Amino acid sequence: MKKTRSGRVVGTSSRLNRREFLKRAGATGLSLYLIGRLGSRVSTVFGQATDMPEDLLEAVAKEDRKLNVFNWSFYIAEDPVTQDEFGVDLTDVTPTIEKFQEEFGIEVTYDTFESQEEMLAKVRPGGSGYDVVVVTNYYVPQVVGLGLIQPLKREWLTNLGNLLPRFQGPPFGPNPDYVVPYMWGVTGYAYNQSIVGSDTRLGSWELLFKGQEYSGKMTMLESVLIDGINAALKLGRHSLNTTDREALLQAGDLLREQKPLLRAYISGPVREQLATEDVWVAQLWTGDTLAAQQENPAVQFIFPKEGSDVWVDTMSVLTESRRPATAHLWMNYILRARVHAGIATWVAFATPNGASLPLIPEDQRNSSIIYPSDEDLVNFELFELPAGEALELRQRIADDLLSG
Amino acid sequence: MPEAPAPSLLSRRFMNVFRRSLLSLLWKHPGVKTGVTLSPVIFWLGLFVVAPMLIVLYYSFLTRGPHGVLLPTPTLENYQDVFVVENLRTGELQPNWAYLNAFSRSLLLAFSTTAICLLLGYPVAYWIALYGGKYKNLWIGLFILPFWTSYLVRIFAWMFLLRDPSGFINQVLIQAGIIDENRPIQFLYNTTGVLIGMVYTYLPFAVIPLYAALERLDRSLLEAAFDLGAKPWQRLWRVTIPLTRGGILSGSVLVFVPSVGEYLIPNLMGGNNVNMIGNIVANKFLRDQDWAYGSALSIGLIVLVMILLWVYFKISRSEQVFERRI
Repeated sequence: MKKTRSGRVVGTSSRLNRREFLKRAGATGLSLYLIGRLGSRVSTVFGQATDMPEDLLEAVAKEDRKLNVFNWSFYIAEDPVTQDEFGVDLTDVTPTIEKFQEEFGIEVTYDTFESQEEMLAKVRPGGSGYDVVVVTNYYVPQVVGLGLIQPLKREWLTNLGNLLPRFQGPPFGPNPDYVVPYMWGVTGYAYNQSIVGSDTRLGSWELLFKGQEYSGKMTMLESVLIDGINAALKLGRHSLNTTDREALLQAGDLLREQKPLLRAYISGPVREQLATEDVWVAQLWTGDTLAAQQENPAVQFIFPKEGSDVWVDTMSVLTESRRPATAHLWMNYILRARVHAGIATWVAFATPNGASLPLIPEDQRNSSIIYPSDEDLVNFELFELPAGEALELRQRIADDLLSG
Repeated sequence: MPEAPAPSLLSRRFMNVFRRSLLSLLWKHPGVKTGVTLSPVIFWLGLFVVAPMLIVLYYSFLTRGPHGVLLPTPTLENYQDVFVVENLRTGELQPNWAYLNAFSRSLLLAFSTTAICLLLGYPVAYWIALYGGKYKNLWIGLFILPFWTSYLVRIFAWMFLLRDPSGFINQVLIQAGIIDENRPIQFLYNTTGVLIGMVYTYLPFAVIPLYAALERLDRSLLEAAFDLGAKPWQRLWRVTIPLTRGGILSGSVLVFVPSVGEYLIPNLMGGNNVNMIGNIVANKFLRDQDWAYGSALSIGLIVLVMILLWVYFKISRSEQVFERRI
């Protein structure tokens, strides 16, 4: 190259260029050959992976064999799921990330967040570098509206059929064109059986809103915008997704009346305080209640009879991802019955994967907290954060309640 | 190519003189000298202070679209919404009490934190500076030591201590029979909890400048005051405090400014019962994805703090406060 730059060889430049061209052509040929080899290696490795479509594997081979995943903390099988510890042997698919890397030769960078807000703050400005991001159903309309996630290639997700029908679309499946259900659970409330066990209001949101005698011993979740208003709406027998102004204002009034009875609006730290009996009644999720229960067996969970929300954490592919095929490969891998069962067992949350259910340990499968019965979920709904006026009203109600 | 003739001694000297005089001419020009000396600072401030502020200022004039999308139409609505909102029932315009209360709560808590930090920090810094002896650096080092662990971890540790009734402090008081088992002291999730957290977090920011000022204090002036018959409190009030005014000033600014924008402590130790303006700004950016409104609130906070600092410096510069009695 140096020579062609020099003025002295101007006369012969065309010949050199031709030589250069030939050299480059050779290099291209070689790299094409190498990619081909790599491709064939990929498909031999993927030979066992009969569930992955051929064109997906071809597309993956064209990408850089890396994948960046962004998920809630403690939300994937981080250790082997062994017979001794869990009562089932799923060591062939756990730890999840390691096994995926082994099978497909893809290097996974796995980061975690503590809240959806934190996730949005990192992802929204762009350039986060993530490919697969876990979005909770409430925020799905917003991330779609902001153009942050891309439509899925459902023909690549051959294992979607493993999902229970109710998670493949309504009532509990969030926008199936953009997201794939990962884990699910319920918002209800936890209570201390030995202290409030005989209260007649148990089973209804009323206990948490009107329980004068437990004043200062009750908490609501931190997100008044979502969980607080949702509980109050359900107490007033409204749908979570109502945009009716009067219904929302009524919910705001209920929350204001409730505030003097509450100790705090907290999410994370309440688990510990339930176990130590500093808190007797707390609006909470199923998974956290279970963790508190392991420390203090008196902690129980209520699926309020007026209803509440079923939440679904979902996997999605960022619009800016440069590895959409690898991202689909990851999602289709997670959807495998054994893989999904391995994760669900380790994290002790409910899997939406019907094919996984027979594989998870019996004590989890029979736990009425992790897998509520259909009667428990009678008035439960999937909540989607509204846009426009209803959202602004919710924000005002939350701000007025917490700062007014 | 034939070799170029060597430049003569004369022309080389001329070049040197020329270069030097040009440089010295430039250097003597006050603007250039200041510019060159300050350029790293200007660069730093421009990149990390002015540019982000301009971005926030820009966002604060954008229109909010659906899902938190920002539309490039300029508007003053964000600022208006900080102060005035519609009543949810009647639709009448009314002051935005949620934010105005949060603003005043932030100011009150930041003032209290600053006052408590100065009151606690001054005797400590005084003792270390005057009686610390060869362990001075150790004592000051101990004040800096907590910064080696995460702020979040320390806040959680405090929550563990303060919880009721299972927290360490309540348990000790109950075991000692000082308080009734059924009436534990509620430290957390109220103004007390927030104040404890803020004083704990920002105390070193007061102690260190106070210590630096007290360390430089000329002891012979205290001896002179003693010889002239000044009583201990007179020596403190008329000599020590006026001479360490700089430390008091910088200490109070260093505590006040970060504490007025605090949001993690009211969130964790206040349990969202005592929300400050920082919580609202954080909620606007994170929870509501409403960057325009959040920016307008931030600008409001910045302007408020700037006005307060200006007044504060104006008062303290007028030399009236401390030196009137001398």
